[in-house]
Amino acid sequence: MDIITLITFLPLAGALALLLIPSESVRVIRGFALAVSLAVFGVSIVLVRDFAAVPQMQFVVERAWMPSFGIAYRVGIDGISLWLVMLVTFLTPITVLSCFSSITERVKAFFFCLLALETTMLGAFVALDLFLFYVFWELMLVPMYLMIGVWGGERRIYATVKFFIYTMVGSLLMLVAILYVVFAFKAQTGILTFDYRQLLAVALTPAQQWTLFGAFALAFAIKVPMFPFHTWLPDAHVEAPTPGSVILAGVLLKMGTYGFIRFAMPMFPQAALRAVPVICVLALVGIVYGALVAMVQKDVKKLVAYSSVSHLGFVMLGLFALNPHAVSGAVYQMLNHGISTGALFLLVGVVYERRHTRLMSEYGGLTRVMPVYAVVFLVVTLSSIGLPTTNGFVGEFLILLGAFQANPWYGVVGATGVVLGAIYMLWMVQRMFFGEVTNPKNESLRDLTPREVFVFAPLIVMIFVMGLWSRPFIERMEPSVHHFIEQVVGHDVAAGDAAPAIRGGAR
Amino acid sequence: MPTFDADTLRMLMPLVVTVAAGCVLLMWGAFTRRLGRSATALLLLVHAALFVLVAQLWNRGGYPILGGALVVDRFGLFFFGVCVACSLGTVLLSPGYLDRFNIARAEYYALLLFSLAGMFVLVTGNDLLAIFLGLELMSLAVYVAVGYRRRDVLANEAALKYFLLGAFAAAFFLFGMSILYGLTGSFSLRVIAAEAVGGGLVDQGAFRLAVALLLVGFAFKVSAVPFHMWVPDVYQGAPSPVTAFMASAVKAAGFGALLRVLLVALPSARAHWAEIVGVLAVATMTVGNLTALVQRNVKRMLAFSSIAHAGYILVALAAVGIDNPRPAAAVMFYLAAYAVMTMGAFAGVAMIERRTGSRGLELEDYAGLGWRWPLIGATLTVTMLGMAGIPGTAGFFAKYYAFGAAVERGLVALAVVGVLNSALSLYYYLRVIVYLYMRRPVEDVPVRPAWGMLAVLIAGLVLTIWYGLGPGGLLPGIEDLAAWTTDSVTRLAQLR
Repeated sequence: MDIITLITFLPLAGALALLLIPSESVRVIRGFALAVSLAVFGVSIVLVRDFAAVPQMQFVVERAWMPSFGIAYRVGIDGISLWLVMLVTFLTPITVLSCFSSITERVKAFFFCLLALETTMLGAFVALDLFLFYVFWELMLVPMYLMIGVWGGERRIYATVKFFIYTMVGSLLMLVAILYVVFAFKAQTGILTFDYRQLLAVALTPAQQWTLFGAFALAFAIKVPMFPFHTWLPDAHVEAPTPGSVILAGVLLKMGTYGFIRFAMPMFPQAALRAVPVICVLALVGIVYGALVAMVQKDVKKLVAYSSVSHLGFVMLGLFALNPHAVSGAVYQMLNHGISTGALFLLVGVVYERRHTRLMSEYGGLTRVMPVYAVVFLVVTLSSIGLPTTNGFVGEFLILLGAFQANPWYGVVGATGVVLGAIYMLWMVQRMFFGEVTNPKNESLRDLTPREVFVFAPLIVMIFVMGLWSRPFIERMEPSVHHFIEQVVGHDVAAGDAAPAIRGGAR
Repeated sequence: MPTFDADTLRMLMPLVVTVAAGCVLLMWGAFTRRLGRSATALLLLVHAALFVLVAQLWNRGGYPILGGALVVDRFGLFFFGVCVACSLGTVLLSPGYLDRFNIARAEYYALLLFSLAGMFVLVTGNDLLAIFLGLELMSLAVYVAVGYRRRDVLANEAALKYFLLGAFAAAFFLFGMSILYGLTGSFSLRVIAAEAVGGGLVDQGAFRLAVALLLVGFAFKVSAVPFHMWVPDVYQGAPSPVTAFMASAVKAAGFGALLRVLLVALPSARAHWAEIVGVLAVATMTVGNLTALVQRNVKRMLAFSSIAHAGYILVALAAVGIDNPRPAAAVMFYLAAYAVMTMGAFAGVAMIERRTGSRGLELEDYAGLGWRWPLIGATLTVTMLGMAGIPGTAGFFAKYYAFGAAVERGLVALAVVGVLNSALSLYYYLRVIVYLYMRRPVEDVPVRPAWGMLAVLIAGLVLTIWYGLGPGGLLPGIEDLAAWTTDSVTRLAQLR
């Protein structure tokens, strides 16, 4: 079996095998789920090792699936999806380990959902067939829906149904757009195929491109979520159990930005160029608005949720600045956000498990009671703000650099987002960790257990590795980033503003 | 004078077997009050024989018999095969259900078989008279089966309503038929097609009126809005296995005959009827989904959802034409997929009804059941997701095929209305899952499984996923089904 297929379906195989273990043996179930997710991570390291820094799709596999419909099992990765696949395989074992204590009911069903979810996420990142991509893209919603709905908080049912329907509306319109592209391609060439690489060649009028780009962009913008399609996010995050939030913020939101990079922009380049001002302005609004709303939250989980809106705004800004710095920064920031926001949700989960409240006013002075926890929290916060030496710095710096090149105003407004980010994050840390212990209930809180240290250690390591040693990451994604920019602005490289930047970056 | 030879008889064997078995059951019922396992065994045998006959006839026949009244071609056999499969599901569901309500009698099964016989005539009918006969034979049997719980007020109302409105629709159909006969001098679909082109009838008002009247008759049978008013009451009042039979088999047979009439007799009037069908599709999807949103009774919810699905099928039907077999194949595939999901869903409903009696149909009765009964939970979850059109299920592929057909024909707006409706429908399908897994059970009454119900439950679960993933092998996969359906449509178009 080829490696991509192995990585993609190993979690699902594990999930099915999990069903055979009796529900009472909770420890066996936990151990097994952890083993499966670690095995997937282990196998996926091979991808990084064997990956060649070229723009082409690698590890490509094509197998017949439904030939009479032009549908095939086509998978492969480039320098962008490589890292997103790694993000999934890296975060899943951490998430599994984290829910040893937070998920105590219906443990088997939970791990089944989590592992099945991993397969669908990996599948969406590696799919090179639009049909296959769509299948994974939508299927992803089902385990997430169950995770929020069964193990979530008080208003879980409202939140999970909203999450599902919101995402579904966008993706269904994308389905019609996919069908339109496929049949337009068939009318032009006589070939009925869902192969993404072939469909890139479809010839469309500007009006058609604009409409189709709109349908794709809506689906992805809801998932990102971009302002003003973000309203499902706070509900889903607040009601989701901790592991659900981690996966939701860490990976699922990246689906949206990945969709822009892989599908919406290269397939409809003219429309994408026309949309640059619209998307950039929405991204900037998202950055500032998300930060401002995060600032006034009382619930720490909601604060982190809104900070995601702000951070994903940066990613979108980077993508649509369309120069190598900004796009590399955006991809980098996707990984950073997965790690630091994932870690933040886990950290919130730690105190929530102990105190069953997420109100910041209930805490205060935690540094004295939980020193290790406080250190970890501070490091993750600084990474999230983008302090130099942490991963967040690299991403935000590259994005802002590129944004300035594209349009100084984008850079200026974007930079205020960084400042606002520092304000709300540090203020949160101040309120929760510094000062005296005001609430007697916090006096006896237990610091991180050894298991929890194991949960956070890899995240902290990655924060510094990616902050200090970004070369191996950038190196592998760079050719794909350049290729992406060529795809989108390629036809007017000579005339457009982006041209010098591309050549400069490629040197 | 039509000849009647051995070949004709061979092609009529499915009809003969069905009717004969129905008569045997009637006699059986006259001598014994209690139905044992042996009756079920006989019924299973009959269905097995019917499958064998369909398979045998698949590669033969295809030419008109009985003076052109029937044509046992692949097109008809595909639909008949779907109906037999649905009828098999109904037969398996019934014993457990009928025992619970103490109404296990032989006549019930005889009615099912007579209805099945009507379906055979309906889907192989090659002239309007045969189609009308088939339609009536099918319907009359179902009218009675709907009211089979005769001490139940709801069942009485359902049967009466269905009968009266059905008679009304039949009158529309007859009226349309008679106008066409007046214009063309024939009931034969092929003669009508030729006259429509040769006689320049297409632009005549009377011809258009006749087409519209025929469509009304069919719209009633396939529960298209605005001829859907009977559906919720009838689906609710009928015994659950009969409801499943109506939602799957009756709908499939009705669409089968409609497709044949449109493709064989009226292709020249495509511009005219496609418009009507498109309007019906939008109305049917939207009304079906909007009303399903507010239902709390699961059977009624499924009734409205079945209306909505008729709407999705009509989207594909609006794209049907003789130049491209794909839309018609999409209709056929959709019906097969929907039959599978409906059977699975109703198996779950019947199982729960068996537990609590007819009051066990509110959403609250499903609270927490998914954890208590994983199999019922899994089947209901998968079939609900399938009906909502989530990938990996038969329902997704069916919708993809149907909307793809519409997009290929250039009916993008219809496809967009279709997907928006799918998003709408998600709400009430998800609600079932919400109750199954996310709410605490009110009372824990054990479900007593019946083996037949279990079989349908498992078959529904497996087939919904099977046709979602598209494998072939032991069972026909999507590829095979798609090949069969396009092949039958192509042959049908060539026959003209």
